[in-house]
Amino acid sequence: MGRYSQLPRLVPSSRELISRNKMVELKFGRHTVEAFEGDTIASALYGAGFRIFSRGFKYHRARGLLCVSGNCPNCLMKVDGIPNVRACLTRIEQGMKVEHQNAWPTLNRDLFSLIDRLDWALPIGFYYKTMHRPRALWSISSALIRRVAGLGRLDSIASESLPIEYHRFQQTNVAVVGGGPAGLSAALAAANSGVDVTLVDEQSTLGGHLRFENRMRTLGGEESRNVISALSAKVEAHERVQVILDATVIGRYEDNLLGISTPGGLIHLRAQSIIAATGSLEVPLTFERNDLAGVMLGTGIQRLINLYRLKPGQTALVATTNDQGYYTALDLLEAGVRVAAIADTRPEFRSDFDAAVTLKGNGVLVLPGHAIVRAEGTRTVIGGVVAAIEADMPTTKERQFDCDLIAMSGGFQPANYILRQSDVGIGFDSEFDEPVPISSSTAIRPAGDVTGFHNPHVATLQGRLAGLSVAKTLGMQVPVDTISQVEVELRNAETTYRDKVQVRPAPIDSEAGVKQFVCFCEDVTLKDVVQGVGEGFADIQTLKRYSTTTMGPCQGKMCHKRFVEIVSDQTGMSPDEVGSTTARPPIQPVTLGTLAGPGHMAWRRTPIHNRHLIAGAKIIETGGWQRPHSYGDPHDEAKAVRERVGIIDVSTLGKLDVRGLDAGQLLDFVYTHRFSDLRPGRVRYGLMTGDNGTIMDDGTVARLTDDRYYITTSTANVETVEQWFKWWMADRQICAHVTNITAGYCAINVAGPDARATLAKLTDVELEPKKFRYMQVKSGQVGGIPAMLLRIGFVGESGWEIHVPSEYGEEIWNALLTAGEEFGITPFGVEAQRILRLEKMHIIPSQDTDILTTPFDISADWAVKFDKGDFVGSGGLRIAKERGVRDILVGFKMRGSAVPNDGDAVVSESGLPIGRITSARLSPTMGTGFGYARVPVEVGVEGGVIHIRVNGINHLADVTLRPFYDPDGVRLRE
Amino acid sequence: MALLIECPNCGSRDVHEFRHGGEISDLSERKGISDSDLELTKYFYFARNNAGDSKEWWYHSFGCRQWFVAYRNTVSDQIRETEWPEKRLDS
Ligand code: FES
Repeated sequence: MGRYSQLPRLVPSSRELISRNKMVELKFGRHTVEAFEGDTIASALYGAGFRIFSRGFKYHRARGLLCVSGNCPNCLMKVDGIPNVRACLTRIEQGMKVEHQNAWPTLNRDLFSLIDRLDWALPIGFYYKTMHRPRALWSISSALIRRVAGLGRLDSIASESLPIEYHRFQQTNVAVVGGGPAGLSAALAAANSGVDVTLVDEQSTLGGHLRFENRMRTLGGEESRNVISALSAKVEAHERVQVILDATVIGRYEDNLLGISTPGGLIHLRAQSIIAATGSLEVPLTFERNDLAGVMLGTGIQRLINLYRLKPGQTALVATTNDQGYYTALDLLEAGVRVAAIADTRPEFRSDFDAAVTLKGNGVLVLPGHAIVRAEGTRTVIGGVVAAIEADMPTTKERQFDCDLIAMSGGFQPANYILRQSDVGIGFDSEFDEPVPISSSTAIRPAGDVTGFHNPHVATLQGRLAGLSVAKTLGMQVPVDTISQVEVELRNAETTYRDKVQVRPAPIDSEAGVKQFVCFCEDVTLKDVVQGVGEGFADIQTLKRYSTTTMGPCQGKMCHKRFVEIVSDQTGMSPDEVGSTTARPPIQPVTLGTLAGPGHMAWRRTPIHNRHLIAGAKIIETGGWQRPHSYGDPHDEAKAVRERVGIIDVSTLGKLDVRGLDAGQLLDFVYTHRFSDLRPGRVRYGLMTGDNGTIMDDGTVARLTDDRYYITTSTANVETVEQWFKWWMADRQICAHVTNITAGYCAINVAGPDARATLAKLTDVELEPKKFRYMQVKSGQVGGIPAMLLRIGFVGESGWEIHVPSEYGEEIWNALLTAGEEFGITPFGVEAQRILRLEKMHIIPSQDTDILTTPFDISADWAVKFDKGDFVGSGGLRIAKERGVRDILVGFKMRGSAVPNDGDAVVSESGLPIGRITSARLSPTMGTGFGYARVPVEVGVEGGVIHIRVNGINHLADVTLRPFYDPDGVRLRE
Repeated sequence: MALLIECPNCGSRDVHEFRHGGEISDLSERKGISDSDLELTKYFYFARNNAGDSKEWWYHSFGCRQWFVAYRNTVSDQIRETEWPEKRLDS
């Protein structure tokens, strides 16, 4: 519990990202930390003196900042309830709550770090080796491992209040990934040639590595930092360029689709062409205790110095395999850090290497042919030891230096992930000691450091060439001269660079210690990898799985290069032969919330929805709609329908208007029934099957005129049925028009003994039984509104389904309620409807049927008209008919008081499952449990008895094949 | 999946607007009541799934809501041509 303010920062610089006059406070655990606006969580904590940021995955060793670029696991923290946030990329906001992960009780004193002493008990592949026996222990040990290992925990309560992340779908001509010198040049060249460009960068400002480093002080005679800011300004102002910052490309998918994770959500960006100016990543060296807090990548240190003006330490030791270490050392000197020595694996370096000359001039000790062999300290660095290299191995000629900072550079690994997710070929360039693109594609082109050339001049030219070439491919007029001029310039620049490049991979000495970490995410050491190869896992893909190297949050960004080097060293294969692991998306960690986006289900509401809300209905979501489940007690509602009159909003029914010369022919073909002989003004039940004879949907078909039918489908199926009709129309060349008018009409069913009297008060249509028969359709006025009335069974009472244009829905609903008031009219919901329809044995497709159910299995033989000739399903139905019914849907009524649940088992006398309950309810009319069961045909006979298992106890039920309520259908005809 | 699909009615639209309706091949040729059990079974359950050229049904769900025919390479996912089904029947 303390208050931390910032230690003094370095003198202001034009490149810094902080605003020194604006202070922001964040909470770090129980501490309050004050920092500058523009600081990231990492720079704020570092500036306040914190050095330990996390604990290792397996051994719980203290870890500090490593890359400061969002590419390692070391700064993962929980921020405002979200675990695994990269602190070095996340800018602070007032009141932000930051907590450490994976340590207990505190980061500084993590008791789990005792595991570090037990490394002998955790050999490579210990998951595979130690967890087999005794089996019973597995559940205990796995729970323990999960508690101790791993990353942050999801706070399920906090995650409920997280902002919704939207998904956006965008298209562009050219997507440029990376806003460094190459990306900026490419974007500008392409946009100037007339194509639209979307530029994406992970950082908050453009410029790439030139934002923070001085690898080249001048570009074309000017200060390179000025060149880059001028270029950035031009790109940002260009009308053809859209710049998306703080945005991480998580993968490249088929047909140039990029997934881009942004603070606002996920962008799906389709690009005709992609320019991969993704740069490269500096990678660590492998030496004893290379994971101590204070051992950092050189470029990470340079970011701290130049972007946040932090003085990273007092004394630094630099270890490098290439030029980069020297640039880091220059920045260290500029920041007032003493550079104890530079250990360079290369035996000598070019005499015209300016940086080295300058450093020597400043009295820095440069040690060519030396490698770092260990760091000293327990949690943070207190010193480092370097040794002279002979025959590619460190010798005992060691030198010790006291220091609180070790800057390392193990060379560069290209950030070529989106290239590897495309058809661009990658091969190993031994001069560069890096994998580079070796074949090209018009869909995606590399430019800049990702090609292995770490030179801003080359990058700028590569970018320009890529931009011009892409524009040309996309049909723009690009002067041939311009392109060839850039090509010549580029070739010269590339040759000059290649002539000077010098790299020497660091020696691999597994004897030098057991804490030489290769993979920081998964805590895999050099010894582990060497041992894995020794155990026979010489293939990089299997060794990866066995050792879990490259499998952590950074997905190999820090360790892949070294991993390949070690395997190559141990097996004698060349790096090209060793190959690489697969670069699967996501390239960078992405939260499930980002991927999921907001709820994708758009619930539909009926025109009467507000009335239901006012009436206090309990709303449920079903079949894509929000519907009233009930307004009170569903049993009371059901009783009201049976005894008086009820109304229900059935606007959710699918409604199709089918017309045209061949409309009857179409319906004859897609339904099992016949409809061409249906007289205008009549309604018929329709059952639809797939061509294999299994049930798809059911509904009513009303013939309005000779060439016009009005069809209802079940609520959830209207899209499917519409597509189905249209498909057969297209396939069979049937001339008809099918229009989905579901939303255009509101439908209300009024049913019960008093339905006629209620409706009669509102309509001019004659409702007398002789005038308006069961299964007839008529149009007329209801409450002064043009309506269509269908007299159908629905809930088994005499009743009408009233269809009116949606706009009038509420009005008719209210009119019916008023008209029925004297009879005690009751609105009823889906639950009462289900009970009522179940009592009448009306099936619900997909509830009482499954993908194998045929009409014969539900005793609907009468609905299948083989005599009408060929129709959809006729072949399958013929086979089903010949084969005979095996399982049949039957009604059941419980003998006792138990009420089964949907899905309960029907069991044989010996207790084996033989069938299942598809629908079950308590009947208010009968007072017992009842419903539908699917059982073997031998059992499913009238008068049969079945056993139903309810909550583990078997109960007896009687089988019936006739409706429970009004089996002869008298009431609905009254 | 291919980036843009040329609907014969609406022009080129993103793949998300469409539903794929399966291949059109000798196996998808409709079989009816008078065909043998074997023929019917092949029609119900089998498809050519050709690696390469494939003639297919596509439906423009979020557009004109019409079925049309597309010629797609199932390996490269490039759609060579789209057309109304009439043409298919004529040829
Ligand atoms: S230090 Fe933040 S990801 Fe490496």
